[in-house]
Amino acid sequence: MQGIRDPKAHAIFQIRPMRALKLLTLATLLAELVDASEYVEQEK
Amino acid sequence: MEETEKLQDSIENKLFALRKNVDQWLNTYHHGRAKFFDPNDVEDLFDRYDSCSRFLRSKYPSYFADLPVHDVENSGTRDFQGRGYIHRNFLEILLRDIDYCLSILSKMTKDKKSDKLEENAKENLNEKDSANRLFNNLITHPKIKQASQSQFRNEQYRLAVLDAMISLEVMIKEKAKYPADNRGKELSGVSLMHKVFDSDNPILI
Repeated sequence: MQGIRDPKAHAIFQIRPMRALKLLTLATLLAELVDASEYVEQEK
Repeated sequence: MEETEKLQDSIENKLFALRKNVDQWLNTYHHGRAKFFDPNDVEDLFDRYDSCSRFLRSKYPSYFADLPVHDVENSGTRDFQGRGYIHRNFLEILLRDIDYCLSILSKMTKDKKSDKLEENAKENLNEKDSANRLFNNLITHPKIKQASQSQFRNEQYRLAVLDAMISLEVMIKEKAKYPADNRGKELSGVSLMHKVFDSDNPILI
């Protein structure tokens, strides 16, 4: 099973409320940057 | 370990050692049947207890202010080469006093443990309260908010973060028009980020 499942990636861990809030704040900031970004057409 | 805890530990150890000595005199001297003891042998036990009990009364008055003081009396007779004797009763009372101190000390330790647990619980509650209050002010992006709010309110913090990050990935995919690899397979995760934010040829700038 370990061959297809990374135990570190899927291990159950706890996040404290303030830590979660910090991570969500980071996600908010990144989401705002994505909104503000512009699409660049790729050359084929 | 805090200084007060160390002191408590050390006095507890002294009392345990003292108890062992008193118990030995009571139960092994003359096969545990002795009624009269040479003051030279046992006076030291009372002095040691006196020093411990004075310390406890001054350091922890709320627990030990009512600690009974039992004066030991020398018979004043000519036994033991004129030194008199100390009756067994006094040693038995001493043993009871030591046990009393030890039981209070043990209760103090339990009280401290439950105080600590209560303090931790309060801290957790405060942290949750603060985090909940800050959530609305900090998590302002509608999609991130929508993805994480209910999980966050239900104290499912790990899932709240996971859903927010998935939502962020979906936003990037949409904005970058679902980039794919050479075989046409839609990218996701690390490979998606490498492709979209490639330093030489980024899709989003």
